[in-house]
Amino acid sequence: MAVSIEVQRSRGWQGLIPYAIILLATLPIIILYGWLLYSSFFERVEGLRPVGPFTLDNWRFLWAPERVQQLQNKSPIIPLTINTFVFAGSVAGVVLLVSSMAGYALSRLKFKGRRMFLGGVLLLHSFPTVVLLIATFVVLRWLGLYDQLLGVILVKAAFELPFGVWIMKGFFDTVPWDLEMAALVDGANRIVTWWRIVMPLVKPGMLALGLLSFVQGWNEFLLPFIFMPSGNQATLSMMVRSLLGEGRFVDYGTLTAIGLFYVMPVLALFLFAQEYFLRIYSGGVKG
Amino acid sequence: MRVLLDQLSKSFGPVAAVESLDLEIRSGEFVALLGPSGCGKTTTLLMVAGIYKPTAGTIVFGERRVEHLLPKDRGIGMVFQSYALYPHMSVEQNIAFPLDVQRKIPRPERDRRVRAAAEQVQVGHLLARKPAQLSGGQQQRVALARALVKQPDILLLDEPLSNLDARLRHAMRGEIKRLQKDLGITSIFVTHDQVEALTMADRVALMRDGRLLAYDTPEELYAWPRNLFVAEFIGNPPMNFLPVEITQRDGSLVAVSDGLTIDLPESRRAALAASAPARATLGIRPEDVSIEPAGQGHLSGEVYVVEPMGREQVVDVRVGSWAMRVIAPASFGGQIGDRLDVALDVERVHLFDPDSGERIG
Amino acid sequence: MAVVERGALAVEALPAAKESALKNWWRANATALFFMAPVVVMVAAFFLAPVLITLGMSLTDMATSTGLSRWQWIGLDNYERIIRSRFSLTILGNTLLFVAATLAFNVLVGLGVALLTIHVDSKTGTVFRALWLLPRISPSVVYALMWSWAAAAPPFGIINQLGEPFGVEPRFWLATDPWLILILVNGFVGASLGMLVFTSAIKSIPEDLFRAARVDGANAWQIVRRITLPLLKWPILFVLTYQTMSLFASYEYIFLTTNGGPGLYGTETWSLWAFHTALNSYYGNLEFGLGAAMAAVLVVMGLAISGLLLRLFRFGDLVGDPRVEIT
Repeated sequence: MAVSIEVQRSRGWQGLIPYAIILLATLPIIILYGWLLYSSFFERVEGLRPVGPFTLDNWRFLWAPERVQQLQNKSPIIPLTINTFVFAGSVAGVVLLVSSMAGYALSRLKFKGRRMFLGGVLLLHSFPTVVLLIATFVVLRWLGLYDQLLGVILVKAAFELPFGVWIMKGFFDTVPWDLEMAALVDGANRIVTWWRIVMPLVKPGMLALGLLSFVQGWNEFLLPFIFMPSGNQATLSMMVRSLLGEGRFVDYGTLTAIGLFYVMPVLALFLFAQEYFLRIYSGGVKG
Repeated sequence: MRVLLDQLSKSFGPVAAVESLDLEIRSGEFVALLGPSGCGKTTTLLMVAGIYKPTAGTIVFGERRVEHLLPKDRGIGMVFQSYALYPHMSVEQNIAFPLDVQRKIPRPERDRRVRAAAEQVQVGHLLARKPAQLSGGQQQRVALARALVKQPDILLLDEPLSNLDARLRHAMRGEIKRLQKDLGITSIFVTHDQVEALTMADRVALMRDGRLLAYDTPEELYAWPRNLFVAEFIGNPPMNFLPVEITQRDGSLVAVSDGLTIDLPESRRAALAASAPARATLGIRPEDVSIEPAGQGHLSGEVYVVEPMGREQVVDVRVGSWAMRVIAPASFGGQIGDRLDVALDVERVHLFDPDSGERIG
Repeated sequence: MAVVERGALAVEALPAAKESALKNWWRANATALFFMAPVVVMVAAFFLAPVLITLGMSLTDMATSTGLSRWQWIGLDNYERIIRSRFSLTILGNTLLFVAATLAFNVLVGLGVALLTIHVDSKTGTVFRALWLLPRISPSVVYALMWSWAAAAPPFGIINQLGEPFGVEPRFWLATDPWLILILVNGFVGASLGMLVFTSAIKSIPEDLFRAARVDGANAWQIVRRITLPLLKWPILFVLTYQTMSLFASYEYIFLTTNGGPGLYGTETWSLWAFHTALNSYYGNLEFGLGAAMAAVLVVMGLAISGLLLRLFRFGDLVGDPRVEIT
């Protein structure tokens, strides 16, 4: 629903003020990302000044990684990308499944501890997870999942759950009670009602949460960094970081290109699924 | 299948929505639960359906106590006010859902029953559509088909006509009543519209604040309201009321108020003599009052406003300090401010106790 | 006077169903158990257990030097070390500064962007909102990298190159104005949350209110000040609460840009300190126990604040009872 303050715009140059201000405010973002793209096509840049000609050499890591000195002792890019994809996808999958179950229960079922759990979810949502990292190390070792992709998937998914549960509960709250009552009268039990009647009606919410969780997983740096030190199943974020810490000689060009390569899938996803991302926040926040 | 409600009660925390409700619905009967918002009628229906658990009391279907049974084990079909059609399923899938969920019925039989249910309410040609593509009336029929497809013992309807426009409402009223008679299925429906209740139901249960105030046939409720609330609620335009004092005058009983004197008929003498009230509330329906030219009626008054209704006119008359509504023929030509007389059909006067609201004689 | 004759009911003669208490409990809760089990297990394993372990660890001297087997209970020694450390006050101050300044940026800029993108036409508004979401959805390493390079020492760094024509003296921003950079880095990410929340809140204000105001003669600024902002009270409080908590706990971008420098703990915040101590120490010896103690202090700080803010929020109003009583 558009707010019709739009009529103000017709008042000549005054109407341009908001445009000017927002453009100015957004300039840093535009410059930063634009610069990243720009510098990936030069061997080196000193700020805005390129050193050397326009080149695609930086992107060599895609088709001829053996010729890039920096990447000699590292895992090839394709397996890393696949790992990152598997990681992100799995996190999204786990979050979706667990959140849609718990969200339904918190929205529609009556049980003791429901209120407590709802309050707890809010608290957990903004819990400083750094606190947990130290001890999660112990838990993972105990579960035999240390230095395993599966371990990191579970940890990341768990950390995303409070948000996911809160969001899904919000979406479930929008399904009319009538439909569930009708299903129960028609002979379904609660589980069938959840699966066949309610879930299909929150598909947009699921898509939004799934996308967001995928992006969170794709971008994750700290967890793989801390809990998969051997780098056997490393993700792209770890690769980018490790290229930096090479001491003196940093191949900025390649690093920039790899960084851009890492960012692009998410940007592309975002561009195409923008409305779903935005829906998350409008569906789930109560005032 | 008969339905019995015995001392049925439901409280939400400290608020009592339904209190000690006793009701008996005979097999094949079509009963209306009527009352203003908040009277507990929908709560009662949902308890019969099994969606709410009673705080106390029992519910019996036939010979079985069912208040602890899940809705799916009660043999009921229900039509919701919003129809509650599953938006992501086609009409065919919606109607079939109760059968699909039970999973004991072979496919051909299931298809046959779905088709039959759809034909019964004349939506057989809409089976492939989605609910969003149907009109309000069509959606309601689909909801009916879905409720009836599993051949339930009892049919429940929550404000079935509220969401329809006026003309459609008339049409559906007749159709639902006919359908119920054809199927002979015990049915309970909830409504706040007394016209709906009176035209469709075999008996009407009038509720207020969680309690049952009257349970009678529509004719009884209309002609012999047992208390003030019933008298006031039933009938459109509503009954006219006047607080009066009852005294003897010239050997007969009269009701007196503020300079107005109304002779009470002999037939009431016996009943009134028994209770000998001094004060009462007098009620008379608008159609039992007639307009006479000035000087020929009981009481003198002045026209306050005239509402032409097509078939008749509803005239708001001020008689002294009494504001009363009178039904006049369509030919009535009175204007605001005209003086005229009204005559009351005193045989049709109702008298109520001013404190308890109960009928006196 | 009875409306229905009770004798006609004869209900007492009908058999009633009896159920054991356990069966009743199972019937009432089995479904809820099924739906809640996965989340309960995961929360127990990755939230509750670690919290308890952290508390326990904080009372030990566990470190890489002791390994996982040769540690000892040392009571409140770690906490004592924290209190007596000459850095803890600095770091606490840093944390408060960081949270307050970034919070201000987040809320104000988020509000500003929301209002601006609603006041321009719908297409442009969407484009700008999408741009503002970029920092949030970019991988942290890459985003931090962009800022680090932008803030580099002269002759590098686009901040220097772009600022020079305007008279801004070129410098190594990360060393000279680390807080400015940090607040910008975190702020651009944080403002997007406020932007989303406020945008959807403003969009849900009934249009009639704006129409009536314009008929009454108000201009855009007056409308914002007298109508829009007061109606945003709850969303603003929500964002304040959520981001306060979140900022106390965040250290990833700081780690990736200044890493707590320049110098010793120049921009070190409490959560970063805990992280460095236990998982990424410059000195090599990772002190789990000490780090756990720092984390425990952080939790207490966080709980205190969130408790306060939840009460401010009257949380109870957000939670209602379900309308169907079947399980």
